[in-house]
Amino acid sequence: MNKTLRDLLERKSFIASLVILVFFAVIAVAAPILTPYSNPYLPSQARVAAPYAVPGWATIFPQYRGLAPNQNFVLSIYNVSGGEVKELNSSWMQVSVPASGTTNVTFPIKWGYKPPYSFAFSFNISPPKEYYVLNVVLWHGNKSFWLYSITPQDYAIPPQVGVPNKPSTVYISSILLSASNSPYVSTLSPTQQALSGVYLPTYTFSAPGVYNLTLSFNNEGNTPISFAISKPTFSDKGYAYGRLGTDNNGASVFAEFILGARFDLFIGVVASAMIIAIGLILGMLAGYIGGKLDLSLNGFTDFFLLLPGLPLLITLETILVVSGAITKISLATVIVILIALLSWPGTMKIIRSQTLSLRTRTFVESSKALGAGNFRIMMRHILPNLAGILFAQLAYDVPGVILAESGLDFLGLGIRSFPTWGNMLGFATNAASSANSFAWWWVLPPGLGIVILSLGFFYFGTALLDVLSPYRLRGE
Amino acid sequence: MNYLVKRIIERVVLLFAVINFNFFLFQILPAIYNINPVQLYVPPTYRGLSRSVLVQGLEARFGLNQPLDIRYIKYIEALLTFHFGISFHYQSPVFDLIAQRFPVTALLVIPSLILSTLLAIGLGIYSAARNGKLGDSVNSFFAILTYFIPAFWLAAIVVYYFSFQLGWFPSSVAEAITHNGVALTGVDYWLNLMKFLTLPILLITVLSYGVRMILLRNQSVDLNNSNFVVNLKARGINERRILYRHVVRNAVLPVFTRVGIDLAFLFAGVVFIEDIFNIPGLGRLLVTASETLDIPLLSADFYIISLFAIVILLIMDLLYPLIDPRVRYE
Amino acid sequence: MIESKGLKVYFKSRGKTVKAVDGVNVAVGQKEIVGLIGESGSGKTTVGRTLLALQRPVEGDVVWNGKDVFRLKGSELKEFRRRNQIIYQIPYEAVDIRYKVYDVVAEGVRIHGLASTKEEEREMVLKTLENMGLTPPEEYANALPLQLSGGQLQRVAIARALILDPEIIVADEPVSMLDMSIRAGVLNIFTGLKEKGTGVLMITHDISTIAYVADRVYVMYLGKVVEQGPVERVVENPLHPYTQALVAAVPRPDPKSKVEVKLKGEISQVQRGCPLHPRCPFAFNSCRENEPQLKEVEPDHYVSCFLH
Repeated sequence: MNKTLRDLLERKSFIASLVILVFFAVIAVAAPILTPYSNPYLPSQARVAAPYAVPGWATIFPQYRGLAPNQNFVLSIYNVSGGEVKELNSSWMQVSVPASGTTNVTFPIKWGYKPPYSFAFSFNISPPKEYYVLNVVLWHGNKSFWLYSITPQDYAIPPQVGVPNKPSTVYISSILLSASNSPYVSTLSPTQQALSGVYLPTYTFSAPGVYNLTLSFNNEGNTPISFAISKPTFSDKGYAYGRLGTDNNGASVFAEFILGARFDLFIGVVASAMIIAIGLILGMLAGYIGGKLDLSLNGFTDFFLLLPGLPLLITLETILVVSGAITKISLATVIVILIALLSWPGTMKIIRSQTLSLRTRTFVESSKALGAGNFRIMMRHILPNLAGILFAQLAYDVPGVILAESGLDFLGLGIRSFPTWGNMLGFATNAASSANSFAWWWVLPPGLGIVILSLGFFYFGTALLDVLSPYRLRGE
Repeated sequence: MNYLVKRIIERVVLLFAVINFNFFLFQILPAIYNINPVQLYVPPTYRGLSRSVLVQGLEARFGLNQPLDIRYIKYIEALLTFHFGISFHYQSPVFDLIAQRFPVTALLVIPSLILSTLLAIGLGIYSAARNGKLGDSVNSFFAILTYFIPAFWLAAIVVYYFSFQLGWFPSSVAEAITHNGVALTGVDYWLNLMKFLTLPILLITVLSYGVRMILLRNQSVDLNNSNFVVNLKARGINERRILYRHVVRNAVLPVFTRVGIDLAFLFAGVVFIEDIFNIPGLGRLLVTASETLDIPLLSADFYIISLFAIVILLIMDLLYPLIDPRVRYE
Repeated sequence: MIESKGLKVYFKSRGKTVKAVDGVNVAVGQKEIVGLIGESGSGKTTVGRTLLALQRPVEGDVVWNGKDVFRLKGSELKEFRRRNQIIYQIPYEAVDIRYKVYDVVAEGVRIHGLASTKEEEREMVLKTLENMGLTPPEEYANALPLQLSGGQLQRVAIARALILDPEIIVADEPVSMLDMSIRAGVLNIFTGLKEKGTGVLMITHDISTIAYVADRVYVMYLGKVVEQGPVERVVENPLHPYTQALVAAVPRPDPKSKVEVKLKGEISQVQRGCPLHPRCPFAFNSCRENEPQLKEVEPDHYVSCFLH
């Protein structure tokens, strides 16, 4: 065994294929650690950034320069006018507003990008019992945007906030602001109001610069009042996201890619194992027993080879799935089984011909002469000598399975509810032809994934075939 | 028994098995699962008629209300006379549908088959002549790479880049065969159609030459190590001459077998290219039929593909002894 | 005692029938070495394989201790296999090179359940290897077949057969692939076996090997036995032109040898007549028309030739 391993490690192609396979195996296994998303196709896991956000690292290219990344930070620097602010602890502060006065707390935001896809501010506030008005204003130079206005709960003009002396959260997001809750939005034209979520970020953060968020506390009573507020958090969703950007729903392509790798590897290996099992049993029996059994098994295989694979796969799937005949097992299982049931003939033919060649070897006859039965000869002499070809076929069949499954997904007839490389390609190319945008970060990874993983399996199989076949079976 | 007669009988038996399997697949299997394909086509109501009446009407029209044995006889009759009936989905005669689309796919498949075979032979000889050297490794690597490139993926990229970005090729058939909204005729029509088809033909060529090239290369390498070639070398015959006169000549034979098999199956196999380029060919017809369980169309299509494959295989059986003197008819 | 009666084995290849064995009667008893000689293509290997039921004949029987070997089933077949062994020409092809020498030799023991414990099995294997002159046996037992020389591996192959304590051994050209220097050593193993009561069918194309070890000899040409008898008579006084040619081809220390028969051309099938007639220097009309039958020319010495 050591010698086998040594032989394998001497091959550069084997090392390369091993690196590829290990890489994909690792990302498949570690998928839950590598990404927080379990299924980016769920609406709840979409919109993690702008649709078609480019990968974060792509902003080094001139055409993507200045695209905003996702950010999330606490605004901790501020200046105060017209009142007093005392820090209660690292995150909370107390704002004292004099009678009939206004206290402005201004937080500068350094913005170094083009406009974001969306932005949001959030802070906690524990208001006093008395009447007050808190205006939230974003300004930059001489332009100011009165985003929001907060009054106590009892004065039921929306928006309202919380119970006095109890903390409640204020969340102001460009997506949720509308003419009914935002003074600024209500000044826009009706068409712009309808699309305020789109326009707001471009109007407010129009260019790099220093922007200011001012919280303006108005005390209209005769006694001083005080608020406890937390330092506000600024967050935005940008046009540059993560390692591989986002798709047309703003879902993480990286998450889709590694979850797709996980699924494709799984389906590839499972279906190949089934193909090998069928091919081995039929091929070895036909090749070893021979005679009428060989004739009928071989004819059966020829018959399968004559059927057009993909249309047959689709027809069977339609009959079994679309018509609801099979509802108890998942679509993925049905597809794995169908692919395996339709893909074994090639493997069977190869195993049969190798068995035929092995059967005539003198060592098989000599074992028979010693008194070994057919079962023993198959298990002890035929099967071990087929090991190389079996492993090789296992490796060769994986790409075929992945390509077939991807083809189904691409045509929209396979799995649609969770990411696979195939349906990523399907969705990506559909989106590319409907919109005039070509999201290379979305189109390239699954295709390259299929090609590279397949090459990995191919060279892995070839190396195993060479090393594990002591009797030179190829080319005979 | 005579070799040819035996072959023909074998193939016909195979075809008959396929025909029966198709009947099982399209007529018996749905019956087992209690699926009435017609129901996929019936709207809830139509002109005040209830759904069940509509289903019955359609069943009567397509003969689906008859017992299976009668359907089987009609099915065989249809295959023998090539009167395949009316497609559920397209509502027109199946034969016409196939006849319309056959030339489209042929226009795609035959040029790319010729081109890819030439490419495979050229590159295969190159690799065989440089067996083990860097040129061979790189060449073989790219050939193997093409096995694994998903056609729809590469096609989508190529279409985007060459048709949309660079505008070198028309992006749809409609765009190709019309000019300012007026349909082209005559030479212009064909020129523009071929211009449109250039990209898919080249794609199929690139994606399919690999298998044949590697086949030729491996055959040549094996032959190069065989006793008869070693013998020729020992006699001092020029290596180049051995390569072309003895090695390649023999190694090309399996490549031609492969071309025949590919020809038989490519007609159903270019569905992805047809899909991306929006070409109304046989592949897409078949996929649509499969999706919609269009039984008359499916039966006819599967039958024609198998028939076509068997005819090609038979022609190859006939031709093989002519090309390869080692195979005799007897 | 194993014996064939009217054995016929035909092979079909691309519609042509090749009569590899065409009506052969041979017998091998205990305590004798029987030579089966002929050039390649004469069917001698097929006779050996058919005797051991490794090849089915189209006609004829093989009888072992009164039983038809092709009808043996279950434990009787197993017993037959155990008692009758074969040794092949090329030892590298005759053993599964994935297994260690130990496992190669132990395979028969395991098949027939001859050892009740691992230790017993080990003892049997090592002892047999030692008897074959493979010392120290432990070292050979752990070797892989490809690490041994041809002569060593042939001894392993013989050990594998002998560990089952057979009555009859078919040895198919056991020394032809070995160097001259080690042939005698391997052949002596067979003569040693004969002393202990084993019967050996020695298949070879080399008449000097036969002369060295055999008691009786069959000469085969194109699937037929053309001459048979005790080895001294056949070698000293060959009657069939084919046998004469075989003998004449052996370089001799004695230059006064009687006949110098040379055959024309190469071995080839005939439609009718004596199989040798196209090559025979003495062929006359009858040879081309009729086929001679074996007849006893002197006691125990049979020949099929119209000259006698």
